[in-house]
Amino acid sequence: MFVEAPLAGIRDRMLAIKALPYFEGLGDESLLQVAEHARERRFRAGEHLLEEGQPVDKIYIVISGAVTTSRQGKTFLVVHGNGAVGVMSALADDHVGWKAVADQDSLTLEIPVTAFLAALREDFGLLRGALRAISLIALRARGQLPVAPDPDRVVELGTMLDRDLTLAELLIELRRQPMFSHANMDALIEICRHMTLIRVEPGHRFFSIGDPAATSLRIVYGRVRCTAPSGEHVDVGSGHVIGSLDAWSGVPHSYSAVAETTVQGYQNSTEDFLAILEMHPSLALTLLGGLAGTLIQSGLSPRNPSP
Amino acid sequence: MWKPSLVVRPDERRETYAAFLTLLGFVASHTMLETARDALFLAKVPATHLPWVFISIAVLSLLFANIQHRISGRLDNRNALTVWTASAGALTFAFWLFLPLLGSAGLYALYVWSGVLTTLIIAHFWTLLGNIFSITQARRLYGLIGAGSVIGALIGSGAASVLTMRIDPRHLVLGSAVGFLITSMLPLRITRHAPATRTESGEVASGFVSHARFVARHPYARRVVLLMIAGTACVTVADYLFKSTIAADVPASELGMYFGAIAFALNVVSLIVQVALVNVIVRRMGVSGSLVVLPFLLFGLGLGMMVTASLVAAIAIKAADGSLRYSLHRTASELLFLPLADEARRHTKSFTDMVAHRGGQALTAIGILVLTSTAAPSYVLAGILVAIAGAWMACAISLRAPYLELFRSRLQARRVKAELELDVRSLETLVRALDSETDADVLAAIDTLDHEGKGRLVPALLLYHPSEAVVERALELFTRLERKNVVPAIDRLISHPSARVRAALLAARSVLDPDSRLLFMKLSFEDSPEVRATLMVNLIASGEIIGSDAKEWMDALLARGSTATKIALVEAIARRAASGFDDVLIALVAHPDPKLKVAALRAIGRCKPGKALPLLIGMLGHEVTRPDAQRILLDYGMEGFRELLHAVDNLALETACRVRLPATIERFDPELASAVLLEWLTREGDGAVRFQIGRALERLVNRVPTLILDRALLDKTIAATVSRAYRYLDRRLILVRGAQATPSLATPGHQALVALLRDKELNGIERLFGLIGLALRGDDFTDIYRGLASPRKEARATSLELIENLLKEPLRAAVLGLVDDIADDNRLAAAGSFHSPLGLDYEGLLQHMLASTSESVQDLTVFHITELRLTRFRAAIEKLPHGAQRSDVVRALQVLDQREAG
Repeated sequence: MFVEAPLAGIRDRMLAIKALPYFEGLGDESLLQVAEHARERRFRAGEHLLEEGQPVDKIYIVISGAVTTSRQGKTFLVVHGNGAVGVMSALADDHVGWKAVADQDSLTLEIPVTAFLAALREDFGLLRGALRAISLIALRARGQLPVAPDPDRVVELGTMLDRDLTLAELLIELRRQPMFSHANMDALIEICRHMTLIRVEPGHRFFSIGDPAATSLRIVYGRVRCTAPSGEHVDVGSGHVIGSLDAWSGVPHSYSAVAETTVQGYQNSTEDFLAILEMHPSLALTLLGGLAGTLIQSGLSPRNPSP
Repeated sequence: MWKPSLVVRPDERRETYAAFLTLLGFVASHTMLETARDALFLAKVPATHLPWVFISIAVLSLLFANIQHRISGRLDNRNALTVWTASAGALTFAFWLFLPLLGSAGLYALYVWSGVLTTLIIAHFWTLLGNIFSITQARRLYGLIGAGSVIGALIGSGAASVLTMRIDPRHLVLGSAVGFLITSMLPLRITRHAPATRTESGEVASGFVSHARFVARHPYARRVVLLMIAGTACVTVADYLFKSTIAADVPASELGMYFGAIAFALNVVSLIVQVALVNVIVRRMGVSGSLVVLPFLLFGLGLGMMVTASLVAAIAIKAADGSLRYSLHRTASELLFLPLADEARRHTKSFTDMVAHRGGQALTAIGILVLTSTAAPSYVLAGILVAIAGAWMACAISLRAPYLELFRSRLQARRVKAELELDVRSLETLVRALDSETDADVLAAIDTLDHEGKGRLVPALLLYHPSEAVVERALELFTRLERKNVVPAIDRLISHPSARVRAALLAARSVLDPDSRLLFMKLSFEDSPEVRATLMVNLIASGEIIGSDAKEWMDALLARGSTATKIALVEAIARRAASGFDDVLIALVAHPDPKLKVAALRAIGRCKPGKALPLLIGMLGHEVTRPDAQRILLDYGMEGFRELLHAVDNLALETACRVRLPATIERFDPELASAVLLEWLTREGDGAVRFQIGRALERLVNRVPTLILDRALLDKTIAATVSRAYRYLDRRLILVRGAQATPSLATPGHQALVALLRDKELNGIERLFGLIGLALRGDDFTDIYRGLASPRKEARATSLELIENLLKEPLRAAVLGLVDDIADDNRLAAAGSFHSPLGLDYEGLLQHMLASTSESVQDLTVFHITELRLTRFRAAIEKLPHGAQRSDVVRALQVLDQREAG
């Protein structure tokens, strides 16, 4: 690593950031957005980066060393070099805060949350990178499935539509979802314009593991079985979306999805969806916030505490 | 003119009215005390002794302020104000009681006490308000609260005038004491009070020394203190000029009545100024402009006094001072402290009150003493008044820039104009990164060196790197830079175990040092289809395999080759920028596999076939191909630019591509790009595309700050954006009022329409700030917009203050109307010339929105009409463009037909 040297210069900070997976492939302009507000902070083993009970107002990109974050005594993340601390809280506007302690002497870049959020809003490359990273974390936390397996979950079949919904009806339906209830209307209308109603019979395979994540499906009616590479599976029904986390992560489908019953749902192309996010960064931030909030609330799955 | 219901928001009422009454009560009591003091003092003591009193007031104020500060640290600000006001009442009562026993000494003491009292209590009062209200609230509310001061002075002086005709002026002191005691109860009505004044470390502030240290370090605070010193000096000279002239011209027995009458008249004028002019002047002239008004008048009237030395001139000076000092000047002066953070404000305000006011008064008094001892004529004093007023004006004018800068600095995300040139240290960092164990570090360093034109610093030894990605990236760089010195290293690695690396090595070798014998030899031994494809491409490109052999091989590969082989083929074409493969590349770029698509695209970028240009526009719409498509269009130069211009005019182009055009155009020559983008902005109908055009222009201007944009076109676009935002607001208000009057109208479609119009208004406001930023380059309006949207009250107030100061009318009022948090009806009223109210009823609005340029507004309107079963709109709905493809239109026609039939 070239981080033994101090990160005083903006170019040094840009280089350090460029080497991180979050910011892979970003151009100078995007990197500058982050680097110009970043400052080098070193922490000795045992020192606190964040205190629980205080809102997170800074995020830390860990360049070297290791940092553990926890809440109420429960470990949340162990970030080794090339990771970030506080990003999910910043995105979710989480006021409870985290305890983050350096496990060993660590070199970090400290970025004010306001500057980080502004940079995300300004630069779609950054926003896309963050969405990719958070979606990957969510996928891993859910065991490469659309939702974490839960034996108590009841799968709602929903009601079969007797006709395709109009744009306005679809919009009103979409706004009933908590994640979209306050989303920008222009963005939601664009999403609705690109939704196509499909109906498939039992046994239909929506996608297999490794297929390109070209579409996602919002289930209106029916039950779909999703199976992870480990063989573990979950059934999802009305109101659930399959394929979206893979699409946002930019990875091939990480689970297979097969119709257990007749399934009706609205399909959305990944390309169209990403184009809408680029046109409406506020929607992308809403999604990111929702996803981060869900992850924080679930405390991450115990199967993968260190994504 | 005030409209209190507009000025004071419901959640501010309690604090505002409590503050107003406190100030009124205090000033009324104090004015009565001052009238008694002046009448009693000047009747028995010569005016030439006044400077001694001023000096005493200054010294004792400093002393008492320190004592007060230490005691106040144990109380919260509100309770401290109550305690001090009640104490003032008790002490004033004691003066009334013992004044006859004290003789002349008592008169001196009373004069000094009345001066010290103001420093202690008024300063505390405004500090309390500074902690309660933000700058935006202060701008709105200080005028009203300050009126308490003027009305109080009016009541106090009026009462004094009437009472002195009937009773001894001494008894006014009793009235004053009672007034203070009653007033002391009023601050308890304030509920949002600040805690005890403590430093960040939690200790009670150490007083004068810490204030002085802070002011010495802080340039803005120094300027404020200078302004206050100049102001105090000027009004002290003016006061002395007035009092000495009156004392010389008016019999001692009439002084009480005389002072009372003049004070009353001045307070009437002051009230008129406060009510009618303060808000208008502060809004129009800004804080610094408002601060110039009083010194400007004193400057002019001082010149008049110099020439005439008359009683009229002296009264005119007092009139200017008396009517403006406690109205306009006080309000503007208090606003000066608000850009400072709480701690900084406390230091500056305390120092100003202790030193600037009283110290300025003392210094002036010493000057006056010197002058009176030399029996200098009044015109000399008037000349000094003119000089100080000039200095005061200069201080006020020079405060504008730092005042605004302080607000700007409070918006955190100010852009750092980072210097990105590679210096020696950065180069050292990069070269060290090439040695890193982490592939990502090495790749990042190669990318950066390449991007900065320092690719020659990448060592050939990198070809021995264990990572395939690193070796491939290095080979690509070496081939492009024609680094022939890497050929020996390539030869040593030519039998590399990885087929990918082998193919890359062979391709690089055949470009850097062509050797067909080597390629044929390798072809005869090579098993990997990817490497064979590479070899064949290089043999075809170098003319070693031609005609039907070449065609047959190529056709076979396209028909039956694996994706990996096809990728190897296009990469080989790309590495040597081989010509003659245009059709192959165009066929493969349409392949569904993203990796092959991107590889073919990159090969197009290297070979630049002319007929691939339209394809590149389509590639802008896809995430995986966009970055390369943008770069390649730029590489095509003017040909690429012209293709983009065609795309701009191609309304059939899908939105996913259209929204990417601005960011692509932005990469070309800034002059050309900005002209195209600005012109496009004025005629683009899609809000999302307009947003992207605006962002592209902002980035261009950030990159090239000297870029000149057509200001007339920009102003026209700004005006259109303001109008559009107000139009959305107006439509929304009609909808909301309609549903309030007829609750059955509040259907889900109604709610969706209201939300859509609100979001469109907000989108318009965001775009507006981007456009204003393009027109006014000195300030970052994106940050200002962000401040407005911030949940932090202080950030929002800061943004509003900057808008107030940076924009000119009529745009300022219209923009403030758009972002203000007052009721929507009042916001709409601020539109001015930018929007004429639609004046439609509910159904009239639905008709109006069917003709909207926004398809979304049309669609939701159609849906809402369908919900309401308004069959009279059927014909209008049927005429909507592309109706057959619009689900809501189709559904509406079905439902309305059924309704008509049924």
